[in-house]
Amino acid sequence: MNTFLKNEKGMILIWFYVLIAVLVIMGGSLYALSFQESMLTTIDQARDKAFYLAEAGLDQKLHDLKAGNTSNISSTSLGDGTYSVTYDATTKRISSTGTVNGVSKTVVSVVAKTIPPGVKGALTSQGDISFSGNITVDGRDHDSSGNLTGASGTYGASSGGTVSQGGSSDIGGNGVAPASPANPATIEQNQTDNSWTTPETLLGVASGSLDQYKTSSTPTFPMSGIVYYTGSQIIAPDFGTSSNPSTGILILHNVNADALLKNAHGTFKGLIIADNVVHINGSADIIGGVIAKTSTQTTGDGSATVAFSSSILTNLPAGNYTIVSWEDTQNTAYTYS
Amino acid sequence: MIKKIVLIFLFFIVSFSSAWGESTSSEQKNPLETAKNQLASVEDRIKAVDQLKTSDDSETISTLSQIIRNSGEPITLRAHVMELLSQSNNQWASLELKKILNDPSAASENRILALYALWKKDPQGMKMELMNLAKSTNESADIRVAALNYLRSDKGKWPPRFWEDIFLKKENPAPVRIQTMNGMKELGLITQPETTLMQIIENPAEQTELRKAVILIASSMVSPKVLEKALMSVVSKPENSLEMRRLALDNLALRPNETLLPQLKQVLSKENDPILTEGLKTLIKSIAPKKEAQSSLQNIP
Repeated sequence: MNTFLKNEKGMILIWFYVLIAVLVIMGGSLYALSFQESMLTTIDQARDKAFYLAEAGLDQKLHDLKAGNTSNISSTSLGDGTYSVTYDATTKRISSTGTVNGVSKTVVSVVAKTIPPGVKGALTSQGDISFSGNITVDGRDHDSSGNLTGASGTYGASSGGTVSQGGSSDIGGNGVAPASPANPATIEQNQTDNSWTTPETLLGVASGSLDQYKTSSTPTFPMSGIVYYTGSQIIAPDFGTSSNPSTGILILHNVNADALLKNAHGTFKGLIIADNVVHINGSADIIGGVIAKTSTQTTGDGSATVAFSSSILTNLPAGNYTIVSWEDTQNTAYTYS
Repeated sequence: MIKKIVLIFLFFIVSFSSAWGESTSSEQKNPLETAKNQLASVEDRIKAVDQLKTSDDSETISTLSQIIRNSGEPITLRAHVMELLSQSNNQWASLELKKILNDPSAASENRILALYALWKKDPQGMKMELMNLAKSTNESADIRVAALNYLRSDKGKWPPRFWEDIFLKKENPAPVRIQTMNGMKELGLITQPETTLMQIIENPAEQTELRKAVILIASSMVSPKVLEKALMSVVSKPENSLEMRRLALDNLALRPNETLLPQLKQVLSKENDPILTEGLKTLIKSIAPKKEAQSSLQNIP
């Protein structure tokens, strides 16, 4: 027994086995560790890609909204993954999810419409503006019923040329009540940034996004939504009554940039954009704003009223959006592939 | 011992809270500071300015004047301050406003604001000063136009040829002459519009801006026939600028008259400008009987 225990033959082999076992265990551990790292890197990369895809979906939805499209975006392929977007028109909440290799990332943002960048006053024009008669142009802020909100609002008239106030026309704005002659702080003249080439730039939406609304047929009033008239003129339109007014965006713009809106009367709640605005008159009651390129005759007269309204201008059927709040939500469940 | 510590703690709490309360109420009591404070909201500053309505010390007026002078201040605030100063009976207010008006280094926009406030305070007292500004060739066109705009609301007596001299003097900038014409119209001082106005419309040497303004104003002052004749003269003469000819054509289109057809066709046959040609064709189409229009337009290249 003692001889057996004292015999050291074969010990090297045992040590060798122990060494092999240790090496195998270490190798296995290293392999497991690197495999895990590799998987985590793959997931991280997928997560980043999913995040950027979610952002792409958000941008796509903002683009769609600017053109008046409020519908959801179903799963759309882009790069290594997909994105899908839902939009809640009531809460103005966009939820965009990007997915790459089963890894999803969701970005949620709340948006709000901004006043169209082309609106600088209750009545804005690239060229000269002239008023006569008893027209009242008021750049103070009004609600959708035409009542003052108490906010100071903007200019009454903003022109790339001059503003000529004649007759008993009253101009107000920037918190100042309409008067004749007007308080100079209610008028803006010689504004070089009042020039424009397309209605899209005035609304802050993508070029060509309003093409779908173009029509050469004279529209009937009262109207709603977006009407983009490309003919030569609309004479004496009756926009409607105070109980049944025209609403939305009325555009008169053609290839020669000389579409004429003349003798407009009745109630309009929204934004009017026209190449040539002449004689906003009679009982015209425009709440929102008017943008003209030029006026080949008196811009406004009679007993008309043009009142700026931020609440109407931020609820137009098309316009620019701004992100109010933004949230990058936690990862949703993912699976190894 | 514990009782003492608690008492000291309570004393500090009460002292700090009363100090805090004091600073809040002092802010409320010192609207001048709020009005000056560019970090405060515009609404708060406007409220503070309203509280200064009854204040008549020179420091308040000087502060308000500084707000008007500073073009970097929000226009809403400056408009409000100016309305307030125009309603103030304080002699310091008039002095401060006159300082701005007579300061050649002040921005033209600020001088106009001061001029408006001074005119609102005392329209009759400012009449002479406004007349001098309107006539002064050393003044900017903006100031002169503003002065004329305020003068037009005065239905009283005028020195002979005050308005006519400014209107007819060709050296005066077009905006000044246009504003003078608008004032004259309102005061009923354009006695022979069919001569005075038509001469300006038809004269290619006159300022284009003025001629355009005269076309607009003339439609309500002269008979359509007289105006059409003048407009036709502008359209047919190539020495007139294209801009003038197009405007004249646009205005002819607003009152289509069949009797102008032969003249329009004649102009069309010699016309080279594509936009004017198109405009002429459209006008001819709209006023001519259908067959005649088609046959006449077929002959035009």
